[in-house]
Order: sequence, then structure tokens, then C-alpha cells
Amino acid sequence: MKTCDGVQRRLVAGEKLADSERKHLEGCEDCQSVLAESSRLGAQGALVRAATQPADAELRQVRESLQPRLRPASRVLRWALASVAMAAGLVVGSLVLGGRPDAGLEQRVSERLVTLLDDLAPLVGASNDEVAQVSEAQAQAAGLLDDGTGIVDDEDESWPDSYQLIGEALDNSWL
Amino acid sequence: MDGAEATVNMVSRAQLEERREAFQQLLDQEFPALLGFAKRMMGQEADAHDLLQDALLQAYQALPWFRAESGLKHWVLRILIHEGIKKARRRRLFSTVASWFKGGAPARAAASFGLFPADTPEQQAGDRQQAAWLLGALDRLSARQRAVIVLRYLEGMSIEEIARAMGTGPGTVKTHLVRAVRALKSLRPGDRARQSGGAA
Repeated sequence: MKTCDGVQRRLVAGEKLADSERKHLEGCEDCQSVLAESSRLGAQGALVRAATQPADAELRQVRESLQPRLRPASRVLRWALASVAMAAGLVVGSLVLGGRPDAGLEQRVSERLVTLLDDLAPLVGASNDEVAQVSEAQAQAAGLLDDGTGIVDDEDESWPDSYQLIGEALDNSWL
Repeated sequence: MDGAEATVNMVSRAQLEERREAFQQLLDQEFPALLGFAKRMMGQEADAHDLLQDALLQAYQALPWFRAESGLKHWVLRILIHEGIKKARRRRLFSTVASWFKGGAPARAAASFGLFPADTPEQQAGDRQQAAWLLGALDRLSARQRAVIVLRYLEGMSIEEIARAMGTGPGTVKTHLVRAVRALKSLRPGDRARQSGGAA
């Protein structure tokens, strides 16, 4: 069975078989059927290619409906991105000033926010200036967490519930 | 991804303009090939149009984050494949749920290209019917299996090219391919008849 697996992987990849594998192929119906199917698919693939060549009218129609969409995102969307970045900075900032979590949670919150901003940015087609703003907000968020504001984590056992909730929400892929 | 990496990905306005220009040139040269690929990937014209438009729009908006070392065409193709797998997966789920209510098999892809689904050996005689059969059978595979079959046998890509395009290893591609080939073989009318004969 192990030989069948190796032989079939080589067959579908179009790789050369070793002598022992060739011998196995000659006596194995299962491997022969995979070889036959692979060859059939090669031939039928060419037929499908021919059947699915787009016509000129179709090309024109798809291209024409796509072209107007290929432009930088609107101002509204750009503002949405900037607002999300600012809100994220504020949330992290206020939570950190209200108390310091354990290092792991703090790191996770920071990482998820950065990931969120990175994910959002391409969706709204941000301009370079906005990307700079986002990076600045990210740096600010990271700075607030790591700027040595004097809040010592191991002395402060009281952890605000709201922060814990947000941490849990982030852990549950809320973002 | 950390903040530093996000900053590294930033590009100047001039670079971005250059990329947008290169993107338009790519569309001028490769649009027929990309649309053809989307059609084979989705098997239905309307879905293929949606896929191509969504993937190209996504690529265009992500141009500031494009890393030039991979090549624009390769990068766009990667987005197209990933988006195609996502859409095929959603469609498969939807058609499975729909078939529970309708009590029938999911609609065949080939019909949308003006081809006819072929279930019997007689119908398979013609080239178009063979192509139709394959397009219909691809709909029965998982999204990932469908993608590797399309890339290998319809696009003629090597295992290494497929692995790069799908962001996975060659070993994984071969595993998916063997499973997909075996699944397609079991869907062939002769094989199915043998199976049901054996079961009886």
C-alpha cells in the first residue's frame, strides 16, 4: 500500500518511476487505473480549455464592468479606516492607563489590533498618508503599552473586567 | 504582522503609481488568460466573472502591500486561486444545503457554457460532451481538489508551480492530486456502474 501511494504520487506529478516502482505498476491494477485516469484528464483538460476560451464580447463586457471599480477608495472609506485606527488607539490607551494586564494579554491585544489595521487597510485602498497615519496609531498604541509609564504589572492584581472581556473577545477571534 | 513590518510595506506615491500602471498593463496583456482561468476554476460563467472582478479589485487595492519580488502576474494569480477556492467552497456548501431542500443533485456547471452534462458512455463520444462531463464532475470535488485538478490538467502547471501558487508544499499538492484523481475516476460512468454492480 505504501508503494502504491509513492507510485501514484509520482504518476500524477508526471515524475519518472524507479525500476522497482515500474515493476510494481505492471502488477498493480489500482496504480494502473490512476495512471489511466491521469492520462484521460490530461486529454480532457485540453478539451475543457478549448470550450472555456472567453469570446471577445464576453471579455469586453467583464473588462468594462471591472474598469470603473479600479480606482482608489472613496473618502468615506478612508475616513472609516482612520476612525478605526483612532478608536483602537483610544481603547488600548484608556485600558492601559486604567491598569496593566499580564504581559501575555497585553501582547495579544497589541498584536490583534495591528493585525486588524493591516487587514482593513487594503480593503479600503488607503493612500500613503493614511498608511502613515495608521502606522503612527499603531506605534502610539504600542508606545502606550510599553512606554514605562510607571504602572507596574505585578503589583496591581486588580484587573478591570472590561479589559478582560476585550481580551477574551479577541481570543475568541472577535476581530 | 507587527508595526515595523507594516511600515516596511509602505510605498511612495510614485511607486504606487508605477504599480497601478503595471497592473493596467497586466490586464491589457493577460485579461483573456485570467478570465479563461477563472471560468475553469469556477465552471460557471457568472461565478467566473464575479471571481475575476473580486480578485482583481482586491489585488488592485492591495497594491501598496505588494512585494515586488514575487512578480505582479504571479501575485495576481495567487489571489485569484485563493479567492476561487473560497468561492468554490461557499458555493459547494450552498448547493449542498439547497439540494437537501430540493431533494436533487446540485446543478451542473457545464450547462452554463452551453455544454451538456454527460452521464452515459454514449454521450461521452464527442469532445464537447467529454469537456462537459469533466466540468460537471469537478463540481463534486472539494474546492481544494478542484483547484489542483484545474491547475495541473487544465492549466498544465507543474507541481512546483502549483505549490507556489497555492502557498503550500509540493507534497501536499501531490496528496490532493492523487485523492482528486481517484475521486474523478470513481465518478466515471463505467466505474460507477462497476461499483454499483459490486455493491449489489
